[in-house]
Amino acid sequence: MKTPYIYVIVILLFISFFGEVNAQITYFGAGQTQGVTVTASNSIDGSDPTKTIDGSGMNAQLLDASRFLNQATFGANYEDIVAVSQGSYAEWIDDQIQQSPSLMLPELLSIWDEIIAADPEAFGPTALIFNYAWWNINMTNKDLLRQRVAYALSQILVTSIRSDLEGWGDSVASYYDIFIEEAFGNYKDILTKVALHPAMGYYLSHLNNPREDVENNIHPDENFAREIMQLFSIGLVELHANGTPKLDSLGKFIPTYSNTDIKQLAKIFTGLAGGATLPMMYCPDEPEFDLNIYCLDKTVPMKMFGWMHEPGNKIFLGQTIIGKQNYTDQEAMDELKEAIDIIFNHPNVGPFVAFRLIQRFTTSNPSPSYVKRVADVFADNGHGVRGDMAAVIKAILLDVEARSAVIHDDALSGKLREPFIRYTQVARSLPTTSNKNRYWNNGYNYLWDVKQHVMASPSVFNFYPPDYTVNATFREENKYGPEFKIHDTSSAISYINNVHVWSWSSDSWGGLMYSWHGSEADLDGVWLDTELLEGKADDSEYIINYFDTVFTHGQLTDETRQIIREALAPLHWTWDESWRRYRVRTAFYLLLISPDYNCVK
Amino acid sequence: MGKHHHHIDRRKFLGQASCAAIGTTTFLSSILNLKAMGAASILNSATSAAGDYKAIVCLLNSGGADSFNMLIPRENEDYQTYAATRSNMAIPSESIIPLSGTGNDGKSYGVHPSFPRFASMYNEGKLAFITNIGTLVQPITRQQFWEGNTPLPLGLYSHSDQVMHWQTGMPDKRESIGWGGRIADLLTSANENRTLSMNLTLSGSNIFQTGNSSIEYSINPIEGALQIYDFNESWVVPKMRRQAIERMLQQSYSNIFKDQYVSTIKQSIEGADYLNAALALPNNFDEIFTPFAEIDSEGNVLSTDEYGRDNLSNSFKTVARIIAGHETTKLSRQIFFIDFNGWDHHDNLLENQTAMFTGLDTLVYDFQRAMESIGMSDQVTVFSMSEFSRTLTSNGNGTDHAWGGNVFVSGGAVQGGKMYGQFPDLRLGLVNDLEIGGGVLIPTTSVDTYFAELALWFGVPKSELSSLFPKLGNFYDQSSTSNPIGFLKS
Repeated sequence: MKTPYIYVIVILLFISFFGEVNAQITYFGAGQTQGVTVTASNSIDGSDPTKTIDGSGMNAQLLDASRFLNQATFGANYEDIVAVSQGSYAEWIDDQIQQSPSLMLPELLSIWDEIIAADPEAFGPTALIFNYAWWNINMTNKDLLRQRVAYALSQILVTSIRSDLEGWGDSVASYYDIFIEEAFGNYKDILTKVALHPAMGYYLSHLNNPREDVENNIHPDENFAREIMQLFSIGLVELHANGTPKLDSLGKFIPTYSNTDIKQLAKIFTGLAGGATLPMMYCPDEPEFDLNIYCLDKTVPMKMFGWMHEPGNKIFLGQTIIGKQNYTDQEAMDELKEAIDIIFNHPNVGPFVAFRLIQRFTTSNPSPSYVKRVADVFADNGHGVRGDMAAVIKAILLDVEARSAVIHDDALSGKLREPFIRYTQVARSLPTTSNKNRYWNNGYNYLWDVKQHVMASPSVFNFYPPDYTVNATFREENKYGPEFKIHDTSSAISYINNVHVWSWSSDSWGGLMYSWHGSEADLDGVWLDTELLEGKADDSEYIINYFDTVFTHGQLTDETRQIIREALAPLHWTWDESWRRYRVRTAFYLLLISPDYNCVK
Repeated sequence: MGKHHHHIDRRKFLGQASCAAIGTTTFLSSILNLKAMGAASILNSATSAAGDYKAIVCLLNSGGADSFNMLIPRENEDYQTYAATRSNMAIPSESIIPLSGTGNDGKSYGVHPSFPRFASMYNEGKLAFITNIGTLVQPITRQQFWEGNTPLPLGLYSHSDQVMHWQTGMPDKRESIGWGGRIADLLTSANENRTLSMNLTLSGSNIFQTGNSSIEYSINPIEGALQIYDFNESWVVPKMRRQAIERMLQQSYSNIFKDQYVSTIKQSIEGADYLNAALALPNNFDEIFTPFAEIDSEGNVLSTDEYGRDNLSNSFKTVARIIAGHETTKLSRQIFFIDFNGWDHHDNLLENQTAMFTGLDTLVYDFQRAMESIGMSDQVTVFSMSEFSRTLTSNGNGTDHAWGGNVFVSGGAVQGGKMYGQFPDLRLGLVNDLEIGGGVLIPTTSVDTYFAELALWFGVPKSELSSLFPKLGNFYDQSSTSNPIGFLKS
């Protein structure tokens, strides 16, 4: 039997955890050799422990690159990990920022062309086609970080296909493209584009929102005014720059706004209606206020109709926008932009956005100093610019708290991996085969089972609240675990069963993904391909190490490793070679459902 | 326009794989049973003798249901007020379904035209309304509200806050523990089965059922309690898999994330056999819960072959089946949770209400018939919640977030055919002491009294009420011999 190579980093000293950001720290070991003892090392590529300690070894860098890439992308294969481990993360991020965006709408339209060519009667493009486009792009793209940022933003500025938007995949795609285009843009532009997008206008009902009609007791719709402040920018209570709530003299939270502020801000979002119409019978050529949504091109930003815009001053968040009695379209739009400017400049926005984004990328419980470091960058990117997302994302990913190895041994640190990201990570990390050389994944099966898929939140409150406390221990320790909101006795088993299907399904439908535009006679699916690994199946340690490198970033514990090792040992027989596949896939299955994988650090 | 539904062959391959047998060895039973050992029953009624069974079913209408179009005044003058205030959101008087008798104010009322079955249940004494109810820290007048020195529920008008308060019964805090969960903490020893949670949810995890120590069991409305595929297969590959899984679950994990990840899986495996055994019992519920009543979470009526995975008809049917199987699950107290969401009607209110009220009407009626068919109607009470009602005034084609609203309770234990609380004046402006602007009403009945009455009926001792609902004393004298509101038979 081969000697087990166990990768264990024992942290003896707590070093500079909350210290200054050190851009030089790019992997465990390097620059952190003090107090770090490595007792053994991973066997892939024959590294040895001393190299891990001094940082020159392949493995420490590989494992850390794997960890980094799974914070920053939808998953990386072994070759990607090797490549990134050889450079600096800062440079990788800079390169990613330069990658041109892969947009959803053109992809969706091209897929839709293909579908209607085959079936001119097809209804759509629905959200199903958005799912096809999303997976097709995210299995083949180069703009890895941009796409991951877009997804994170889609969980803050939420619209969802679990609404009538389900019928309008093109609108969903163009809404999502805001996040892809502005992933490294400015948060103010994101807020503005979101406010003007018809998908949001429909979802939070400020599309076709009329001015007040006193005689008939009709007041401006308050929906968007409330949620743009509560969920997209400021939140309910005043925050310090480090994200902790401010307290008044009685020790109570300080509300950021009152219902009067909401009613005032609601006036700003009156007068918006469709920006373009569809070339359909009974639909006018030019958009009109209150035109039925079915006539609207829901990929074109909403247009302001000044005559429907609420006249008069608007007083909110302690500021006054001097209003007029009559508005031109442009004047009304300028007023809206002035209002967004006021919201965007509220001091809460930095810590509010920083906390939520950090939770999407690195940890469920960032320290206040981590939040503050990111919020400070939000406030000023170093060149006097507020809301620079490229700088914010870089600050999140390169922060000492994101990069530190110290948290490995901390019982309170970590994050439950988002179920959706577990899926993308599997799909992107291992070789796959498909019979149509495309990734039209329906996505719905996974959504039903594990309660998460891109753009499919149950409500504007996202899949989970940022401050979800899981159990008594979390409450006592004052820790959050948002993703546990969707990890219940049903979805937890469903996830395991999905891994089962990825691992074992070889029947007529796809094991990993499948479209609803195939059939048993004309398959349209994607399967995992483990053939290369099967060639190495004689060596269980190699297999386990490979998956540990790619999926658990060297965080597989001795105990879990031993459990998997012992499960693989009996899977060996002489009458045929099928045991190779069983061995590789049993290792994959067990590692993917293990707590070591699902709770990422 | 209804939603478009996709052609689906979804479960085709999964279905074949999912035929896992029932009868897993419950290797964790011993561990989990330790937890409940030594706990004494504190039920206020005679303890769990055979046949003693009670369930409450929480039907959350999240989003904020506009309940002033559910229950509508019919007296001429009051209807005129209603119509003037509600403007283009008013229901025409001729389509209102009258309720027999009068409210406790001697006036006649009716329900939205989508509620014919509610009307008949009300008229038969199986359903009651509690009117102008809402979250309150203490009673408050409009003057006090304006002065701003009287404590108010945190985050009035905010979905996330108000839906939290309805579930926690602690409106002056932002708490993550719900009163259903805290009841389970108190009463769990009443159940012979200490392995399976008293709290069962058809809509995933929720604050209401989260206790200090108890965690709700989440069940799939269609597939029941899920089992790991091929868990009981005996050849070497699944056998090694299972052994490995069991060993992973038996490990202790110092990291709190890993510990919770694993404990949910343990809880699921432990409970699944009991629940699936109960679900396997024969029943006639398919005849009662008719396919046309399948409604998705946004209230759209679906046909059977479409994708309403979390559909509500199946949720209620599953609850009925589990209640019917309570001797198999060995549970004598159960709390169920179903979220029928999508009531945030800032837009298209009238159109949406017509569809969704029909859904509500059908579901509650079908469930009541199911309980009657197994003779358990007196032991099961359904109660509704919604974070707030909506502004009486219109925003054009919808309504916005408000405060006080109307709820309903149904079941054989309900003193039905009555309205409880004070139906409010619906006028706008200073003439109406309850109206604080924009058609928002100060509630005149506290949710605490509503919850306390349900808790008492369920078996919570009166002495525990103030720990469950810390502000209850502001609305109800707990030394009183009468119930907090009186809608349940004692």
